[in-house]
Amino acid sequence: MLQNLVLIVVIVLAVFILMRLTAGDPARMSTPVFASDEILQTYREQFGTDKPLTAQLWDFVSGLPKGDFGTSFRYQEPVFSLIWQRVPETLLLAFTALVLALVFALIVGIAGARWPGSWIDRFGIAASTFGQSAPTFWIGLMLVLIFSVNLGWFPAVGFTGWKSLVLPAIAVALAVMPADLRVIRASMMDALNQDYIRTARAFGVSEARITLFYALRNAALPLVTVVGIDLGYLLGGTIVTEVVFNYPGVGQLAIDSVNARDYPVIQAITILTAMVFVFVNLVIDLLYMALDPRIRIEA
Amino acid sequence: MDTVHDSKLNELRAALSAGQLGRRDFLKQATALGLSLSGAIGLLARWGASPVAAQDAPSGTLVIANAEPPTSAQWDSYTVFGLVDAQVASLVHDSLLGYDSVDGTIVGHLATAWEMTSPTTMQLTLREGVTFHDGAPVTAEDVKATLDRAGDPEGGMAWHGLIFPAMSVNIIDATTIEVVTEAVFGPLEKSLAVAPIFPAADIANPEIFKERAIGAGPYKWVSYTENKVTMEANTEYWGGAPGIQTVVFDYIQDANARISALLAGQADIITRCSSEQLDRVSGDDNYYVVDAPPLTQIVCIYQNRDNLASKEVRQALAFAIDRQAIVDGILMGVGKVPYSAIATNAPGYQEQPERFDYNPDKARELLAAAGFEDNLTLTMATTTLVPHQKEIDQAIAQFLEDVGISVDITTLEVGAFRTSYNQYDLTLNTLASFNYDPDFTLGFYAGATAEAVWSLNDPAIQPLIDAQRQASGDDRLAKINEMAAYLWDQQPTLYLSDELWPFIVSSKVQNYERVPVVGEPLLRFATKSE
Amino acid sequence: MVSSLPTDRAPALSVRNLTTVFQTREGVVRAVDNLSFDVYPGECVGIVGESGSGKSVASLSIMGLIGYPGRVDQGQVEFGGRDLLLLNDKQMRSIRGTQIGIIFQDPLTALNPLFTVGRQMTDVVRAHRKVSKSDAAALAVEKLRLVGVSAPESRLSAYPWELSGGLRQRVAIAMALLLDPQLIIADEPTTALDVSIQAQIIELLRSLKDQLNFSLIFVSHDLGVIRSIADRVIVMYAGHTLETSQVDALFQQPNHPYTAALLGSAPTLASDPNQPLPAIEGRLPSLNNVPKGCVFAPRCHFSTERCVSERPLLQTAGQDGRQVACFYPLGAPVNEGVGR
Ligand SMILES: Nc1ncnc2c1ncn2[C@@H]1O[C@H](COP(=O)(O)OP(=O)(O)OP(=O)(O)O)[C@@H](O)[C@H]1O
Ligand SMILES: [Mg+2]
Repeated sequence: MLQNLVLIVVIVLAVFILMRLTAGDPARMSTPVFASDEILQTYREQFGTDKPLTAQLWDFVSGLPKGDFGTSFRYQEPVFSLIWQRVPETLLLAFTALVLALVFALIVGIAGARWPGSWIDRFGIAASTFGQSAPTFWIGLMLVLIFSVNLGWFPAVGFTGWKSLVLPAIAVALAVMPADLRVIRASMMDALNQDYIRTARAFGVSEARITLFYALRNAALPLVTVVGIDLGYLLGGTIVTEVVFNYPGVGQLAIDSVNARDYPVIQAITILTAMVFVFVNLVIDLLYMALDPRIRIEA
Repeated sequence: MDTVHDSKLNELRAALSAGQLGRRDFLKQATALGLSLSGAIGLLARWGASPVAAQDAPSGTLVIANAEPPTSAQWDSYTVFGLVDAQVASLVHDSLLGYDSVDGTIVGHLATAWEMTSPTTMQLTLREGVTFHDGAPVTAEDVKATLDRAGDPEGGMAWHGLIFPAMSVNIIDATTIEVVTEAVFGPLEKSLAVAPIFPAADIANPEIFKERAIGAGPYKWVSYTENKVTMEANTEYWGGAPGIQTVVFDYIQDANARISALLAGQADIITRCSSEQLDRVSGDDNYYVVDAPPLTQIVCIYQNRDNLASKEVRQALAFAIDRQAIVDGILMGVGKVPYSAIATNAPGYQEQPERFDYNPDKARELLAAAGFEDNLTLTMATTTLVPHQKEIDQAIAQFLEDVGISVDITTLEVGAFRTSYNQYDLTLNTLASFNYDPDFTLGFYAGATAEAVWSLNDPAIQPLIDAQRQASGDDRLAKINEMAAYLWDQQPTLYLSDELWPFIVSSKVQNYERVPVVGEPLLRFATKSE
Repeated sequence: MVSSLPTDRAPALSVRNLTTVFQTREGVVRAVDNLSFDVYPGECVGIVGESGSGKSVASLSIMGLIGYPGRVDQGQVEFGGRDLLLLNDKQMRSIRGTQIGIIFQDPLTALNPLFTVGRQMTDVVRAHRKVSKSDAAALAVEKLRLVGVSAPESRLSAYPWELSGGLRQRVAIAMALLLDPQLIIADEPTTALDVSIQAQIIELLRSLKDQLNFSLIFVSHDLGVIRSIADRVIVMYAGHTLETSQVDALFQQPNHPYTAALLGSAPTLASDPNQPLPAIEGRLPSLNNVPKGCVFAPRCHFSTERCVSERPLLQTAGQDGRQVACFYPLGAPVNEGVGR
């Protein structure tokens, strides 16, 4: 816990300092090349970037305990509410994608482990090879081309309802699915080859129960691990998709803020992401304990 | 141009629309009103093309997809430089003068008549019965509050000095005002045509600009959420209700996503397209291209000091770089090589006798004369600010290497690039005029801006600027050319190409046209069929 | 120990010509080749052989538990008047655990580490009988008590890895006994255990068999262990049956040179566990490359040309159904002029 706190503090400082040392002047980003010094100064005053670095750091840090991440340069809105507005869309996308990926990976992975070399297994291997080798932005482009531009089934950009979710979710799901599928297939295969599975079979337990209960339960630990990795990926991995689909989520906001040098937004997104990451890891650890009595005893 | 009687013109328009007036008669009567023939033809082309559209109730939603969002959620047009800021301002606000036709003829908007009563005084008659979107009438006080602020050298307005000179407004009576400039200011009409008039109450309370925009323009500002600026038709607009009910400026960062949005019917117009995007719709009847850029130049900015302080060296660079090859090979035609120091579509543009066509031998000669023989090294910073910037910079460097100049290229990330202005000998950038007048960019070559942008301190320039500012009519065009010719000879920068602004428009949109300004003053005439 | 064949009764299990093959990269291997034997009610048949000789495959074949890449190629497994090899999955499942129980070698891996002992036992009960959880638990407690687990109620909530090796194997035995099967197959149930515990478990199995009167197939690579529990013994080598005999007779006079070698190398319960075992020279042949003649010929001190070129069939040798697959059985009258 303490370790995590230290981690977050380090991230806060690193983001703050790196942005200011390397990223350039936000006032310059809002003005053309011919803007005069007076105008630049007006912008700097508005942004507070005219103050000394230490004063800026203090402004920033002193706001944090109150949940005050400052005001966005570009949107002139409190950063937290700006991000908060986007969180539902990103969560929706991330979780839809995760569920899609997991459902697919579970069905195909379990079936593949159960019947290696079967058509469904080969289909799963092909799908995961595809998902792994095709870059997300390309998948996004192709999905848009086929299902939006040519067939007109789904919107190409933006968020206007559940239909807007389908293509981005598939694009993100295709990115996380291959790892899920491989882990599920391998761990199920491993579990199904364990002696205790043979024991269950030898005692007349039904195949369905053996597969979906005994083996899956034993494959649950790797599964939780991979879901943890997925969540870590999704924290940043929706960015590309959000840009390709112009999906109004946190990822797109992050990119825009980097482009506009909107320091307060970048800082807040980084810190919140780090916190979510720490939180997710905590939940994963707890899940481990819940799932494996051996870990529970050790702890 | 003299006074144009707008009310009379509107009568003509109504008659034309109702079919009571033939085309020839329209032209006759319009020119009789003082309109130039080409201006009258422009009006006829638009008004005659859709005689009923303007009379119908506004309908449909038009989505314009841009590659950028508003600069800031700050609807004070006088402080921001962004594309979307100008687009929004041109719809939500009205100005004293404005544009009603593609030929860029200036007509009365909030003013019905105007006239120079002295070299520094323009007297204007205000249109009566015009209201802001909140129902308050547009008064002389509103005009004064707005323009006094823009004309105040101490007011801190970003546009001051670029578009607006030091000036102030005198109220003569409720419908008569005078705009008095400190010095003679030739581009005044053009400046007033892009000067949105705000309610005086808003000017007194500028914090309100962070929340919303209220104007007297053809569209009412509705909201700015999730990168979309939404506007609704102002059916009370004095010039008649606009053709389209809802206009949305959407920000779609990704170039592919923008074209996809267009092809999927989620956007009706995408702005500032690349050649790749144009290729996607070429030959497709469902789309057409409108290309009417403001005065926009892609320049390779020189720091006019050290080795580049020599005119011979700068001219050598001009000969060494094959600008046409870069435009054809990299910009793929989305560009236009100028032969003068102002944009080719700028009033007053004339091709200069010395074209600086590609001539490496000449370049070597000039370099040798300046004492350089394979021993000149220039620094260059590159990034992705300008379309195809890295390729263009590579090409420039290659051309320079070919004549024995070594180029030391540093690749910077956009933010760092923008912060490094003035630190490298060569940096690519664009210069755009926010009004339809070359004065905007010519002003960069003197004073503090000249020092900041090009490290330029040439005492010969300010008199040239003043000369064109103080002239009027055709004389002014000549003076503009004089200054352009001087700059062209001096080559304080590489005038690589005009930046074209091809907009791809869905065929569902009719009568969409542009004048060479950043905003969309003609959008109110557009209609959309579903 | 029974010294004569209980021919007066029908066998509980009758295996005929059982052949199980595996598809491997190198080709099809015959892990069990033409195995035939009977198990009479209340009898204990031992199967002995070196590691890899096909003992487990034989056990699993009987249970219908050979999965890909293996399959039973031919044979019959008569049990309860039916040929188990002809049953469908559902019918076979209803026999597993109820009529045939099995005990595996290593109870640590054979029991599921993520489920409690109670959970695993009640699951087996509820896979076959519609009883409540508590009734199933009661049955589990009863069987745990039967195999000598102290405080059985409290063991129900223990995980297998929380128990000692011996206790774990008792749990496995209790599980096999849960639904009172007529036949129990114990596949090296003591191999993974300490020597002292081995004896306890064997003693437990013997007493349970006498008490409950089930038939027992006891698999081991250790003749000493077989001797202490089995009535009859089958000696397997590379999938083949080399000799079958009453246990006593076998120990008195092994007929097959391999059996003799096994006896020579067999540790007894009394032998010093610190002394290395005298191993049989050479190695079991690879199943991909089984000798054309007698499978043991390459390691046999007595092998002849004939042994190498021709495979000896299992033939009756003496009384009590004793059989041996050798041209020159030990202790037999000298035939064909080749003496020893
Ligand atoms: N899944 C399999 N795939 C291929 N061959 C197999 C497989 N299972 C068993 N075999 C073959 O069957 C042979 C006999 O295996 P089995 O497990 O029956 O030996 P065992 O006599 O039980 O040995 P141990 O004493 O080590 O348990 C092995 O040597 C192997 O060649
Ligand atoms: Mg075995």
